[in-house]
Amino acid sequence: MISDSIRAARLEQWVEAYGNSILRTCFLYLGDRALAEDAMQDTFVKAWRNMEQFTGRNDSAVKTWIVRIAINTCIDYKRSAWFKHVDCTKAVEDLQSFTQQASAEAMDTTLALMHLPPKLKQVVLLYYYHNMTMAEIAGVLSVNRLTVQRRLKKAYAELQFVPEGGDFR
Amino acid sequence: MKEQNIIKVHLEETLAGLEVTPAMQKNLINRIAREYNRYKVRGLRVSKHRKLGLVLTIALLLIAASALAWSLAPSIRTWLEQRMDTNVAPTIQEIQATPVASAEIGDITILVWEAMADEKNFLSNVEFVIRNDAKLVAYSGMKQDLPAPLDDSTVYVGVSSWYGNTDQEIFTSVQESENRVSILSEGWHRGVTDEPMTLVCTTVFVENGQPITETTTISAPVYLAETLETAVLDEPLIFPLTGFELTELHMLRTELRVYWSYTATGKNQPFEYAIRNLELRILDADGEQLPQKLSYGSTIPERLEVRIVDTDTGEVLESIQLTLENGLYTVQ
Repeated sequence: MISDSIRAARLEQWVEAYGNSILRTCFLYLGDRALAEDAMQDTFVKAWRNMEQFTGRNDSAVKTWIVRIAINTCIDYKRSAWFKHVDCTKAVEDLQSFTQQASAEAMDTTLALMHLPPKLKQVVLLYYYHNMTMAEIAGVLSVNRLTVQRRLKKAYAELQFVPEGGDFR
Repeated sequence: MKEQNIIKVHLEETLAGLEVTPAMQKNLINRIAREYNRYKVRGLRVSKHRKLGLVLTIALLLIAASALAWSLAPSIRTWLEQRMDTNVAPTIQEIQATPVASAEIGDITILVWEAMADEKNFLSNVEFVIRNDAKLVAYSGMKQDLPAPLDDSTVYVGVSSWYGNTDQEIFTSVQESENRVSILSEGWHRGVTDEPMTLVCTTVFVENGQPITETTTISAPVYLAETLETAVLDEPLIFPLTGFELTELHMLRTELRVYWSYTATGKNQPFEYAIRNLELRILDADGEQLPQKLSYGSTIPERLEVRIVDTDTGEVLESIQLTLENGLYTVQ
């Protein structure tokens, strides 16, 4: 059993280290700032509940685990009936509310990624934004490595980027 | 610059203003505090409507069960009587001898023995059986949990279950023998549904130390666990010295597990006790404090002790013993 004070300190450390990237991942996935904040909170509440499982693991394993919880939380949100009523144009408004000095190119990339189908968006976020390997992504999404590779290729096509020498790790 | 850097740079540039604020952190801490108190102070919350629903359901169940028991064939009646004697929740495995779902990956057969849910939780019991000489070893299903180095003569197996809009799960226990591995996992769901449980089974074969992962998804019908037994407090317990009152105590046993909750107040505390750090604790017959949730397959405790303890000194200021009779906890 981990004592309450250690749990609290560890959670604080996790929020400090991964809070921003988890919040941004949830926003990119859900396209709604308020929902993303809720999903980020849910993610850390779940991590807090199951902290016992991650005692003594290294930082990268913890990060992968928290990202996995975040992705699953976002999937749950997407599945909920309520989400189906969310106005998807809200993403653009929300983006403008906190984006101060982004180039038009950066905005285009972000919006293009946000408009990808969920399965493609997941792999792009994990591979590009969280710098995970394909094997790690396969573990996070419970799919096999080839599926990850296929989805990345499809995402490339949809984002209209040209892969440079098959940059797969 | 490579694609991945461009994408990351663009995303960082656009999302730079989206940060976890101190207010968000405070909200998170408050939520966790609420979550913690829910289990620490009240256990499982049961609303008034749910209580009424529970009472009515139990009454109907009892009437239906007694009518059914007498009309059933004698062998089944004997089985029911045996179950009542041992006071142990039957598991699906005891009731049926065939798996609820199965699949094959190479030389491995995957058998789903249990896929159960009650109001709050779900549980899956999956067995892997291998037909060659390789050794089976269970792991969480996540790559980073694989041991290093990997053994070529071992196949690593894992399960991830999804039910009721969630895959939040706890990897509870594993039983391994020479060519079989059973993995029992459980988790919380967000509401009972008619949808089957999805079990993502992962097998990792090893070739020259390198893992080759294969995944198969099994859809298993879910057995909805029924409520078997309840117990409540006969009348509120008053602790005259410290002014505490235990107003409600509920025990609920479904086929899946036992839940418990209580409500206590300290509003009539005399000043000298109100300023001390007192806590109401509930202990079983062995003097062990009840856990947040009693584990799968456990029974409703027949004896309880309710203590008022000074948490700073450990001193027990008051204590009342309770015994269970006909679903009611009464003062011994």
